[in-house]
Amino acid sequence: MTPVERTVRAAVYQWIIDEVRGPSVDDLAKAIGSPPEVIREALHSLEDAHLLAMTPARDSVMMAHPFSGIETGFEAVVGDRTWNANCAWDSLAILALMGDGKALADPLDPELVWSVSDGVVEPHGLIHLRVPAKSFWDDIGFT
Amino acid sequence: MDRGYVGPVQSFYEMSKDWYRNRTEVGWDPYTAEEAMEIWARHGFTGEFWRL
Repeated sequence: MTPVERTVRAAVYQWIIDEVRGPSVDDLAKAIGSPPEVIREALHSLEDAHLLAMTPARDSVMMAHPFSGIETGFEAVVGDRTWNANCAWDSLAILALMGDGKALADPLDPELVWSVSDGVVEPHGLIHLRVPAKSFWDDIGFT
Repeated sequence: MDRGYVGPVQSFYEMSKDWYRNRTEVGWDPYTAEEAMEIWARHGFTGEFWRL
């Protein structure tokens, strides 16, 4: 990663943590104080390196794992903050990153909620991944 | 498609703490394939599904 890509990548995470949504190219340009063209180029390089995923229009961040930049129905709630996740695993991973809280792990089943308190997940349950690790990024939306 | 991988939520949580450590920081570096598999293996995520 170039120094600019490192700065942009970290700024993406800080933006999502603060704003609970994915930043646009313009959001990052203002936050960092760099021209939009520089930000766009860095974001596209980061996407090519599978370090984040852009929206189809490639003008804002859709995924910076474990966070989702868009509403998905998978959520992680910590205090008064609610972040979107990309999948059940990521909803739990956001709690691992941000602290104890609740993970809404299935958009189709609002009763499937995991609570994490002092690092213990309840209720006990299982996560099923369909796509093997080497193929995670073949179609990251499907994964 | 094969059947995928099924693991306990607690294990996924513990592995995620390791996997996403320092991820938000400027100095974080992407893992090599070997580093990634080592992190997963520390938490019992092994086998063909987790091979890169």
